[in-house]
Amino acid sequence: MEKKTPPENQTFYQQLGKIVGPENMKTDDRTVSRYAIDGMVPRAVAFPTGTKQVAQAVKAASEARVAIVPWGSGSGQQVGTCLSEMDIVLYLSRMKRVTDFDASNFTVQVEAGLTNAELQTQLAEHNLFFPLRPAHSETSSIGGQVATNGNGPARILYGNLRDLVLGVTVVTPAGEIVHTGGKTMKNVAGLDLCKMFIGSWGTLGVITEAVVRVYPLPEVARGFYITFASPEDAFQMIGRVLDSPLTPSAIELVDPVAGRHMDGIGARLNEGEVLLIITAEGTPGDVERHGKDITELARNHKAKSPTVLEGEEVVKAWRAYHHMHADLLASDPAMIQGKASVPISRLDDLFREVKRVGKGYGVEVGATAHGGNGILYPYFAANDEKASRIIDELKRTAAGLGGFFVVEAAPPQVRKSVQIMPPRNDYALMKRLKAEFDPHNILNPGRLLGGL
Amino acid sequence: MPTVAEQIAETLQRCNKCGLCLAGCPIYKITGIEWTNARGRIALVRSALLDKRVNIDDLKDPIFNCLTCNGCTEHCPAGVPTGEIIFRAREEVLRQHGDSWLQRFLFRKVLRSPSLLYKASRLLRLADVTGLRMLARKLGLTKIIGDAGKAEAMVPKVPPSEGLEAIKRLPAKIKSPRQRVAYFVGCYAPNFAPEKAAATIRVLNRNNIEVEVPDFVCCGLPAAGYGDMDASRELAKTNIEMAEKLKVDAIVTACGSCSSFLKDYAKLLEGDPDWAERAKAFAAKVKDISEYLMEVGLDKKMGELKLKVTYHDPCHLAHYQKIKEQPRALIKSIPGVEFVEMAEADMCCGAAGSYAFKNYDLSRKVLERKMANVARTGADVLVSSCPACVMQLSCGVNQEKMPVRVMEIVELLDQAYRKAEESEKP
Amino acid sequence: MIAKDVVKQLTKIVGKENVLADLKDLIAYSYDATPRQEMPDVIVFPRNTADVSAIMKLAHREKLPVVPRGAGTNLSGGTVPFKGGIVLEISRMNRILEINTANRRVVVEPGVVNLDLQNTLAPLGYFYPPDPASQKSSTLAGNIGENAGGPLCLRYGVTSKYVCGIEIVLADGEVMNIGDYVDDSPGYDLRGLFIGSEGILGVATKLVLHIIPKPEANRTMLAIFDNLEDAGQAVSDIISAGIVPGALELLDQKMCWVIEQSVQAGYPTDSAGVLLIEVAGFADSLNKQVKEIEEICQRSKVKELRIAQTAAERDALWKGRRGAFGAVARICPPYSVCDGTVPRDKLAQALHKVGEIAEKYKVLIANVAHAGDGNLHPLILFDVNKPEEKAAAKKAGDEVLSACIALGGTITGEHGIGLEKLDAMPHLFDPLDIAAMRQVKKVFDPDDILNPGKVLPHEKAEVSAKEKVLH
Repeated sequence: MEKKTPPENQTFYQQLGKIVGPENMKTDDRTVSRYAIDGMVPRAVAFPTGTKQVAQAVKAASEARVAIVPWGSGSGQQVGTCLSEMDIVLYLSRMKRVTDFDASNFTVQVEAGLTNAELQTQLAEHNLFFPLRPAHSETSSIGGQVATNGNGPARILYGNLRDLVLGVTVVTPAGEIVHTGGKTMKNVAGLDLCKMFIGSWGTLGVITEAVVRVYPLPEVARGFYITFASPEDAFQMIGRVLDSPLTPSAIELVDPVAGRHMDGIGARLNEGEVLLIITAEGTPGDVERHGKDITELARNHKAKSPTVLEGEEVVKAWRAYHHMHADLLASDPAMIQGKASVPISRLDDLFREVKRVGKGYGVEVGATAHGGNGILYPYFAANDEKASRIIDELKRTAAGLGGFFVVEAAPPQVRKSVQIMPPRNDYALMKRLKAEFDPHNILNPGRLLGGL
Repeated sequence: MPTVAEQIAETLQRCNKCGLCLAGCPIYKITGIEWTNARGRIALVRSALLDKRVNIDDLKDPIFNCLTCNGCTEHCPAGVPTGEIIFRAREEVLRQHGDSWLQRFLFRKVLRSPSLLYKASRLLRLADVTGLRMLARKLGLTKIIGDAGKAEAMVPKVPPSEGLEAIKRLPAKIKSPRQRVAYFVGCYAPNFAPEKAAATIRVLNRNNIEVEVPDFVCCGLPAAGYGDMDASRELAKTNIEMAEKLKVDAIVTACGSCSSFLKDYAKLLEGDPDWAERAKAFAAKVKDISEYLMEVGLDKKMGELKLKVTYHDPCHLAHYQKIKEQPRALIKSIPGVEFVEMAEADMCCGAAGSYAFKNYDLSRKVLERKMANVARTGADVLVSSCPACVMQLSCGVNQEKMPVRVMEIVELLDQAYRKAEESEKP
Repeated sequence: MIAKDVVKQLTKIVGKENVLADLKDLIAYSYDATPRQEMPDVIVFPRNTADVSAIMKLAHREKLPVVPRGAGTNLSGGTVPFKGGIVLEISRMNRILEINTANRRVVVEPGVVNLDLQNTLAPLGYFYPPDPASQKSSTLAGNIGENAGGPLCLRYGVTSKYVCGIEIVLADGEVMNIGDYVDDSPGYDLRGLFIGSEGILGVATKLVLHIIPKPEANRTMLAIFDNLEDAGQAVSDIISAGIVPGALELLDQKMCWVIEQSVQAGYPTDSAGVLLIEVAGFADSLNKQVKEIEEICQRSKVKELRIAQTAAERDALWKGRRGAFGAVARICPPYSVCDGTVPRDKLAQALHKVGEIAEKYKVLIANVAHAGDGNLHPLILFDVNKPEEKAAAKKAGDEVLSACIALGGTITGEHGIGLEKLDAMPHLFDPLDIAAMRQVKKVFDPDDILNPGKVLPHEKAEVSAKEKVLH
């Protein structure tokens, strides 16, 4: 899809300045360079203060055929498919208002720029929380999480992001404000456009507000950290936990390579061992029961007694867990992080295969996994040629197990050279949706479906 | 005289199309066609009779391939009486088209006379004994009459029998009976299964009940199922008159279909001022054998039968009379018996009287589903309480070559009592 | 009238035993569980995906409307053939293809009946949470078309949470797989768009569903109140206490009376309302929850609290609730049911408003509500032979929906828009919102042959075109 911006589109930039106010638009090198993506630098960064401004800005951009990159906190900008061009960045993190907080009905409506951590702080005052704990929770914005369908370990109990978002307000690429969904948990009025915008990576519309479902803070939260001598035992235990009435709030697996980057227990894993993190939260009785069953299962699967963490310690441990991801990526400029999703029962095969592939190329592969969802994140550092071959083999492996593999975080040249999106037969329809909503391809061009 | 349409308008309008009846319809589960479930049949009958959008002539299958099992009514929260509506629709069809000589002969002559029925059964026995029936079957002659020809193979070989007259001589004299009952033998037992009638009488006698066997005629259900309500009414009046001459505590029958229709005499004759009260009095005295035995209290001195037993609910017992617990309680009373409940126990077996004669394939498919459920129980014995069911289930067991014995509940009880008697012998 | 040639071509695709076109067939497929009726032109029973694709290719070529249908139990007119055409009946595609508890997945054909799946999963210790009241008759594809709810969704979530992947056939016959057997399939959430799209975007031919282990135990109770505010307060307090009941259903006095006429569930017929409460979880912690609920109810001046002691008692309580809609038919066959949903703490207010509306229009309204999610089902009764009552009922229904919107809610929690609520759409969504929905529809079905006339309000051009045809 071709879209040419006249290099000197003065009219547009003047307009933009008028829309957001001159103090909310920056074109100086120092500012714009902070918003570089994959080596590309925007011509201007705008800081709108509300949905109306966003709509006006997008409308103007649409008419001028200017490429827009919506920006929450930036944590997802260099993940997955590559942006093909950018003219302006629409920085949304000035929009942090809580526009409707219905504590007794457990819903909250927020502007996109509010960070997950900020939301949690506000909710905690009312003894509530938002059960989404993705990586970068401290910094990533709700809007960004919704746009990238960012999930976290809590999904196994509370559901995916798509089950937690009741509605979004979106500015379409034509600059129109569209309201989707509503405030109620049950809502089947019309087509569920809210689902369409979640995980659309800023390519169908700019999410400016979201209504999310919140929950009462659990009375007790306990974490069980279990070290296994072999991954097989760990996966068997996961299978037993899943095939029981237990309802853990996380089932995470960490291998020693990744574990090196996790403060605390992870760092103490020996080669061949794995760490299984199971958390339980709720009433004291329910948590006790989880503790009892998990301890017994651990024993039956040849693990040592779990280390048990409580309350604030669990919070700290999750922080360490999420920092592991950033640490791994920072540890090597050639570090690549992928995501493989396979049927839950094949996770053990996937883990074994991923390690085998790495070994075959003489590359160390670290891995973390959502044990209850069949999702595994391999981390490895390799040069372009080797990286490309490892990626191909991981794709084949995942497909052979009935799933898929995608590259998420990686150096731009890797992400540019690889077919990120796995083979599917519904891309034609997705492309038609994109063409319908964004005929001039001004929103995040190249992202998501770009490489197809 | 109100028309059929006027008489059933209210019941037709009671259906609000919620569709829960789909869950209880064996035919719908086979075909997936909307007008094979209660909602669809009722919508079409309504379309013909009330809305006049379609000719009732064009509704042959919707009206006649319904089992009238009333399995749908178990799920209908509005209480729409599907079986009744279908019967009335058939009545309307008959009224518009007139009946055939064969039908008149059958319902108004043969079934009204136990001796004539007996003679007819001897003719069929002759065909059996001479091998004529088997020959006709082998030559494919039976195929000429379509489904009826296929269904013919399900009717068992006609046994030797001396008819109702012989059965009348069977009851023993009881010294101090708890009660005195009239045994309504029905059309099937005297001619096709006299040993079952004998078992019924023995069980009653064993329970200290005095039995007499009046000359009751056909209860009238077959005629009603065909749509000939007039014939049913005539048969009903004959039976009512007969019963009025008796001094009994109850009129007991071992056929689930008979007990159901006999109890419906009150409704059948409610429009007739000369008979309404008499029919009501009659109906109040009718008891199904399981119902009766549980009411008077079963003599529990039975011998041990080490058997795994499962039970099929006849539709007319379970759905029409809501008699489900009593047969099960009786079976569980027998020492040594392990009772296992089958899945979909109250789903029709596909017999539905003479249904197979007009809808052979559907009847077969319904039976297949039932047989699969029976097989899953691992039972040695399959018990039911209606000759049509037992006949159909026996066919099913034979066809699938299953090591299962099919019998009436009275036969099982009779066996248990005889076992006790044997062990009492010195 | 459809071209005779089309019936012939359909017969070529699926065989004559799978095509119905007599008058009786057309009548039988002209309705669903609402009073609306419109005649189709032909009914076809595809046997598999290839059949569905061939049928759609034909329909696309001839520009014929296609109405996908399961059991036709929906409550919004969703399967009424508004523009005639082909009823595409998927009920014969009813096999369960795969059950894999280790993957927490089942793969089924679209016509599998919801309860049949539950009964197959139960011995394995698993279940599929969406349990709409119609579950013993409704098909899984129908459930997906409406994003069905049910009492259990309070604790477990709605259908969209339990559908992982769908094989669909588009309007032009193209077969594609949206979503996936595995989690987090990349790209746009076409699966999420499809769920609740009421048959206007495509035909589902295979479903990959998410199943979960059954809870260890549950306890069911009936709480009887003398006024609805107290019941509403109890609902709020139970949820605020952090208890997530498996079900929390409210039935008002009129509804209890109606139910007792048809099933003897033991509901009181003279109290303002009852709450049917079920909690699920670990056997040992349930007693504590029951006690907590008891205390909360007492604080809300509960008149009586009955706790089911046996499975039979539990079944009896549920039988009453599940038979509610049909039981209304005993006293009044045609009724209109609203599906308005409000934020939970506005429930008592909403019920009061409903009472006021009933008085204003002099109609009888009986209420059952999924109280835990604020999903009301006021059933408005009227005599179909009296046009003024029918009109009053319509007005009352419209006002109920407006009231729900005014309280911050929506016009349909689980029954869908279908035909019944087209008028209410503009009250909930503004023109830009609806325009965006039309854009999606355009992408999937530019010729508008899939279930035309449903969900999206009729544009003026459409209305006058239809009128032309009738004259």
